[in-house]
Amino acid sequence: MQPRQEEILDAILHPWPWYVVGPIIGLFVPTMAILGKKLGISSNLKHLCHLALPVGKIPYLQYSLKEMHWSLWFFAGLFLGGAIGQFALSDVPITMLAGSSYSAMGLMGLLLGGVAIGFGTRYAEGCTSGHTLSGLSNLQVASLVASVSFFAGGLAMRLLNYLLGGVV
Amino acid sequence: MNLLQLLLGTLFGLLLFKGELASQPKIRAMFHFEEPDLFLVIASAVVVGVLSLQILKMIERKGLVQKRFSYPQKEMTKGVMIGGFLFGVGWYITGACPGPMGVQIGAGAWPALITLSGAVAGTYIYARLRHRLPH
Repeated sequence: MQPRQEEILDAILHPWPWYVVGPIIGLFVPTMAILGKKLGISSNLKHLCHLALPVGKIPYLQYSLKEMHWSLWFFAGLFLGGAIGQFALSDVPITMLAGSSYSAMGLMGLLLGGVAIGFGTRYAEGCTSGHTLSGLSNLQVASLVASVSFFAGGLAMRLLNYLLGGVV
Repeated sequence: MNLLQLLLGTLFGLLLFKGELASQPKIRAMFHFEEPDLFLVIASAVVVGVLSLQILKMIERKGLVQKRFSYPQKEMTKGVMIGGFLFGVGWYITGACPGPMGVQIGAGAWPALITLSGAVAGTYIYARLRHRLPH
């Protein structure tokens, strides 16, 4: 192989720099605007609830999922993208979770953290994709408040974790 | 449309993976202000997002297209702050947003299945309590 080709292949198999990843992620905003879809990943948590749990008399979960099938397909793609990235396009695997997350305490942390993410993103009506990426791109004040709140929560948890001696 | 969305999701997932936005140690490094990379990913994505929506709006104003584009509208509620803060707590612990938790699972980190289960449970708790929460 030519040295130049080798360099390119090498770059693909390593983590990609921010100036490649960031702008391409940014292009998802106009893409979804043109397709007439709302870019928001956390709404899929609601759809999964709708599918997996008793909807009963809960008004929040009573809706027709048909219109939202496309969103679950996008969500399914994320798993595929992670698999392709890790197993086909990496020479050295990227660490997803630190070793501590595989301990009993760590797994408990993931469960509680997951609950906070599900509850929080639905209460805030968006996550990093719905608020920080697409909401901010359309200069929405709520999304700025949301993004600042996301970081405030993370920093607060960092402090708490420090005070508790690195429990998670 | 579904196939297109599957492809877009796959590309999005690959970008999250390759940009290390699904890596818990990298998310921690961001919150510890040790590395600027993830901040730069977010900032450059938003800059591209803002500029391209401005371009789309200009195209619309000049009447160059028939169809209307859809722009993300977000309403300010109390939940934006309270819920947003709680999400941040979970983000720090798990190193995952709702998207990256799927990426983590796809990349073979099985404990992320617990993160996702927790997130679905958290959504259900919200759905049950919604009428009692300030909005």
